[in-house]
Amino acid sequence: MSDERTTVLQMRGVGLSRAGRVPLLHDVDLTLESGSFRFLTGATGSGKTTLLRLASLALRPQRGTIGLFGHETTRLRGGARADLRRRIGVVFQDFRLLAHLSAFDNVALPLRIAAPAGKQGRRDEEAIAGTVGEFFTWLGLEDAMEKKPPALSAGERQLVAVARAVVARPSLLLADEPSANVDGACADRLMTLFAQMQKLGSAVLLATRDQALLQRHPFPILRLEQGRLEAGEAGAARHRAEVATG
Amino acid sequence: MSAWLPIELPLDETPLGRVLVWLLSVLLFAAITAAAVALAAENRLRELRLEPTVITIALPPATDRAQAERRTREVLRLLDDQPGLSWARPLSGEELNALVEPWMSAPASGDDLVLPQLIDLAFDADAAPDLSALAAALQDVVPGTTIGETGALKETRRDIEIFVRAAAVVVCAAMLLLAALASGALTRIQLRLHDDEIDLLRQMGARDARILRQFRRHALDKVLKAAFVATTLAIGLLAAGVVARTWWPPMAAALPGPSPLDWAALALVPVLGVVLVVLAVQIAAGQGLHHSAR
Repeated sequence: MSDERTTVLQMRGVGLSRAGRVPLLHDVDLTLESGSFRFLTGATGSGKTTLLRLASLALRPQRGTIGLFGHETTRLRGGARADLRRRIGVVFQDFRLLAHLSAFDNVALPLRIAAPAGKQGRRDEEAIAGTVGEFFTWLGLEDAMEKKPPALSAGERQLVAVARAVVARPSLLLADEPSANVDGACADRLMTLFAQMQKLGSAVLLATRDQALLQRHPFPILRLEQGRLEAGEAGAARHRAEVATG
Repeated sequence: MSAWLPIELPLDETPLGRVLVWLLSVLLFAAITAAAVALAAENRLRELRLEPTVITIALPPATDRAQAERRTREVLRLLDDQPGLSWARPLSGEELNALVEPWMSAPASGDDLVLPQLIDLAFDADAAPDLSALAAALQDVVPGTTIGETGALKETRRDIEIFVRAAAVVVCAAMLLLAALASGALTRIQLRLHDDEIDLLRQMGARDARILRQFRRHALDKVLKAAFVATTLAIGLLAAGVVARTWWPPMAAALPGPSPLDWAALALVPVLGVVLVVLAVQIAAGQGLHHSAR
């Protein structure tokens, strides 16, 4: 990894309201650099998922600007947005695996999508099979490769969803409660994987309310409080105070 | 996305995807059958055009042989002036006797009966004689002269064949159009049903062209299956008709056998159906994706 850090995500004054009235996010300023790792925490309904959806270009902000990899995204359309999205890995809270595809095909999706249109051949597919196979081996899910998501346990589905998010080695990894459905040991394993991604240069933003996870892994914490982002020491201090008072 | 990879959208997982094959099979079968009817009507029309118009003129019974001969001469002179007349021939006494003999209870000679004089005449195949005008002219020459209904029947048959051909063409076009519209409507429903999966693919960086290809590939798969089923059934039905012609002569007379060109024209119907369906799906999916783009 190069020591030179580049700005991956830059939110400036981002705001969003539900149905144009109920505010979800207020004037969020957030910058993530390559090779950075941030926890995003906050109560249920504080806007964590909304912030991740804005960062992954699934939503457009009503106010402010979002820069990704040096591109101002607010006015980007179609193919340009798709190109940026290919550099983002997302772990969804509800997995969002495609039930009719095998676990293997689910994980292979981002690689197949990233292949040049109409140029994908059997050689590419062999390379994809190798990469995906490695992930399944590392996650200890070799037996689950050909199973379809409905036949997997919640924990296995979570692991498959994480594998899909990281398989294309995204520059920005956004994870929404990735440890919600796995035990502590598995959660630590996932954290090792996310930390590995960080070391390889990805910017990681991980939304969680798992206090044990936050305590075990000393990464900077961003805190969302009723749609407002408290970054840096303020957010971390408030978080520590809340944890101390139970 | 390569053809041998699974379709990423679960388009086959809903009943709609499965219903599409059977719906298209029925519509394409109806279109092919209607096209076959149109071709049969066209072939009948072609044969009718090649048939000369043969009619019989009946002159009222003459009082004596001299009057009969005079009338015949006058009528033949009138007929000579008719455009497109191929030939005209008065029936002999023997021919008249042969015509009435089946209705006689005992052997009898036509000489004992008061019979009209009959003149057979034929117009060229491409002629369009004005039979009403001819009837009026004959009345002037020999009052009481009538024209047999054969010529009028040919005109009626031609009108019927033209109507059948037009109706069959309309039905064929309607079935193809319906197949395209139904596919487009089902595609719009599929877009709504799979909005979440489409959003997921977009989230992973899939361009709309890739998603569109999946709809097209799914539609092509379904319509090819439907075309195969419809064509097989239609060929079976037509082959049964061709075989029936050889066993039942009246049917052979009524329905001319299909030529190789007819079979080729029929084969074009499912091909046209496939093209229209894929085009309709492409347009519907393209519009839907455009509207849902974030």
